[in-house]
Amino acid sequence: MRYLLAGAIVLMLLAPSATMAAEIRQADHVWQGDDRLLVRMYLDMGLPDVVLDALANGVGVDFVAEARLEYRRWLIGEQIVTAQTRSVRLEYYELSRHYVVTDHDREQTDLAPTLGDALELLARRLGRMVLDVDRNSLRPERDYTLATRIQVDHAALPLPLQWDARLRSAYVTRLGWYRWSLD
Amino acid sequence: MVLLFLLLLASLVLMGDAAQNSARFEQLFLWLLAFHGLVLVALGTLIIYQFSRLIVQYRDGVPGSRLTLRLVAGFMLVAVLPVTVVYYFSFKFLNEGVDSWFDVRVEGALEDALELSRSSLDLRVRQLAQETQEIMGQLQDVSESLVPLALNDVRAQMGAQELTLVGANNRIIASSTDSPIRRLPSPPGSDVLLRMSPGQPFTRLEPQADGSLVIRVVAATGNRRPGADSRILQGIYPVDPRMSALAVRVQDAFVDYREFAYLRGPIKQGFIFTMSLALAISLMAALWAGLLVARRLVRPVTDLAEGTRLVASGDYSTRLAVSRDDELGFLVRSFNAMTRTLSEARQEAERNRRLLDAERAYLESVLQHLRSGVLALDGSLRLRTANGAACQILECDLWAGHNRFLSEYDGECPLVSQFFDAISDALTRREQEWSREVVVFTRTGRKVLMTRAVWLPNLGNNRGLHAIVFDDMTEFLRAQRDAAWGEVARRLAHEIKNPLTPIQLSAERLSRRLGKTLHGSDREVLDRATQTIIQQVEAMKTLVNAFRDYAQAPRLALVPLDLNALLRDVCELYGGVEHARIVLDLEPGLPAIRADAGRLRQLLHNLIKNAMEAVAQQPAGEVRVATRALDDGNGRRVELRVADNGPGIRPEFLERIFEPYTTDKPRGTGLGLAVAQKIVEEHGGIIECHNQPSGEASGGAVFVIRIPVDHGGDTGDVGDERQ
Repeated sequence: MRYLLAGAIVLMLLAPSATMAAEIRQADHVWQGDDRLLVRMYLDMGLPDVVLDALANGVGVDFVAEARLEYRRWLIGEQIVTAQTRSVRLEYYELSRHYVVTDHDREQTDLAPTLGDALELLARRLGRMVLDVDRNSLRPERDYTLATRIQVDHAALPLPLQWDARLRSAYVTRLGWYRWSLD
Repeated sequence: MVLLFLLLLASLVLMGDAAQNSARFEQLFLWLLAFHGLVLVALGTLIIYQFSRLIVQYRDGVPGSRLTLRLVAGFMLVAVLPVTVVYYFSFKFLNEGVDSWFDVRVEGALEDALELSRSSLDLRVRQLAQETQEIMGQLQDVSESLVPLALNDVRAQMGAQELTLVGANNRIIASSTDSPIRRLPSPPGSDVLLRMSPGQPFTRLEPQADGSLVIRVVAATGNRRPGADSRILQGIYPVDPRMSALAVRVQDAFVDYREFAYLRGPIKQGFIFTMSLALAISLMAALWAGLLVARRLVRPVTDLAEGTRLVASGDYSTRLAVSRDDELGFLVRSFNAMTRTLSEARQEAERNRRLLDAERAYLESVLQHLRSGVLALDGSLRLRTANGAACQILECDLWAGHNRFLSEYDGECPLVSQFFDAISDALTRREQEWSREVVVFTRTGRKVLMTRAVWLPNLGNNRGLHAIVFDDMTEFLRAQRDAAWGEVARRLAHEIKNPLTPIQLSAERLSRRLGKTLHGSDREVLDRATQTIIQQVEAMKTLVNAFRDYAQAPRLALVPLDLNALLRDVCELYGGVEHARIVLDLEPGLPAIRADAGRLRQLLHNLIKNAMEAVAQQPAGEVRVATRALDDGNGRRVELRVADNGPGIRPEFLERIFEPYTTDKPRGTGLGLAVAQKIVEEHGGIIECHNQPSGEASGGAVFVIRIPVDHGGDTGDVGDERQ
């Protein structure tokens, strides 16, 4: 029994970690008045081969950007003040041989002739989010933190790919949280 | 267990549901996967534990483990074989079935259709690009005030959705649209401007939100240099709705087909994973259930085996729990009934055995306290039982030789051997009932054993049993003889002594009266006759006195007596005897005895005189008188030995040496030793006589007397008690 448990732990440790060929190179924020906080992410977008392969085979991939304002409370952990998400879909349009980047929130569709252009468009769409927060309600004694991340929306993938994404770590295209102080 | 199975079933159903529902899959997949993983690990652990325990039990030979293992193996076979077959064919069907959904020709046809659509659209694009370029040439020289009108005309003529003329710095000079309310004029985007090349209009097929297609064409006049007075015309043309719909459907079909083809691997993997998971859980659950069921089935058998082992080892109190109402339950109930019956029978046997033991102990106690000797011999004359009296009479530890043949005691126990020789003929003949007087000889004399026996053919495991009872009648007979002789002596003393005195007086008177009248020879005859009468009367008186002494028991005056001193006194009287000498070997510090000095002196005289007479004919006659104190287990006593070196006592006399009138001397009365025995017995002692072994130098007879030591009791006359 002990050997089985040890074997399971070793397998878990040796399993490939979640990787995504994209990076939040830098992020900052700008107050737009006292009630809007613009969060800007500067992304180096890239995709794993399996995702690129899926795109090339007609599978649309949805990306979700998340931003939130939070602070840490002792023993409880992170407390979220406000949060915002943005969803952008990337797919290949066969008739025109263009990549289509669709911003679901703005109902805006852009066409890009190359994947590089498409990823640039994608980074531009995902890299801007506005948090609705009352600046005056923030308590000065707290250390507020802004956190952002980008991930592939697994639920939007075709179901067989979800199986694959769950069972094979190569599909797990999530990035960790990028955090910086509000001050 | 049932709950666990229901839970597993529900989770598998949820898993199947989640596999068809993307949102539910996202919510449930991890939980279900974790749950099933845990179930698999738990089941695997349980099975490994149960199996290892079963194998250990099998190696240790625990009852029921072999049967359990066989049942489990059977269950496994029954579960694994069909599941494996189903799994194999399902796997094959999934692999080959899914692949058969895709056809190269269909894929090629779809690609061709898509290419055809693209070609049609490209043709339309090129046509529109050329027309737009021509319009741009026409509008180049039109003044800005007239451009709107011209654009309206051209747009209407071309069927465009929108025509927009842009000047320097992307400023809209004029625009015409088919629906000014819905659509506002917009200049070309920066991405479009950047991709424009000189002399080549920019074209792009753009899908719309409603699924329709439009063609965007952007044409420029000459080189678009910064600051130059150049114009750009952007036209947006709708694709024919029918063609657009067809092209979009072809594209959708193509994309769906390719996506489906791309996803067939994950689809198969998903199905196989779900199927494998369900199979693994089912197999493990079946295995576990098989283990549990096998143990449950075998438990009564194991209990029965353990119970049987306990019964075999003598534990009849074993009762098994009846937990079933089937054939095994019936078997367990029967086993319990059997052990109950056995237990009761054993208790009954134990009670009987105790009773028998008690009876036997009682019988043995009675036997041991009997003064009669009792022997029990089986049909083959092996000794079965002997009581203490038998051992004492036959002077042999018969208990040590239990189950031996009586004939085997020859040499070891001479009395037993003699006794057996005397009765063996009756035993061999198996006489029903008999009695006889058996005489055996010991070193100190003979023993008369009054023996009675019965043959009990039904005892001793039907091999028959001889029950022999015998009594040592020696003392009784001797006492009887002594009493008879005493009576004879008393009557002699009374009947004979009384007439002797008148006879003597008459003879004397005859001699006095007639002596004066007779002379000569007559006188001599008279004198000789009367003298003879008187002498014989005297002799008869002596004889009668001896009888009187033997018959009458004088009153004893018992006092502490130093035997050594008495011996010296007595022996001194024989100091003048010439033909023999007396050797005294007296132990110094001899304890005193309680004795009548006069009677003891008479005893000593009798013995020493007897010994002196025995050595009278010896050239170097010697009488050795020795004393010593001894403790032989019957109390402290003083032993006196009077031994001579004479010829010894003839064997035929030896056994009756102490009886009256037993003598081999020509002039003896035969009462000396009888009186000596009587005196010894009056003092509570014993007297024995035997010849010294012929090999010894001294030879002759030995008289041994043992008298109890005085323990400081009252001195006095105890003659009445010693009669």
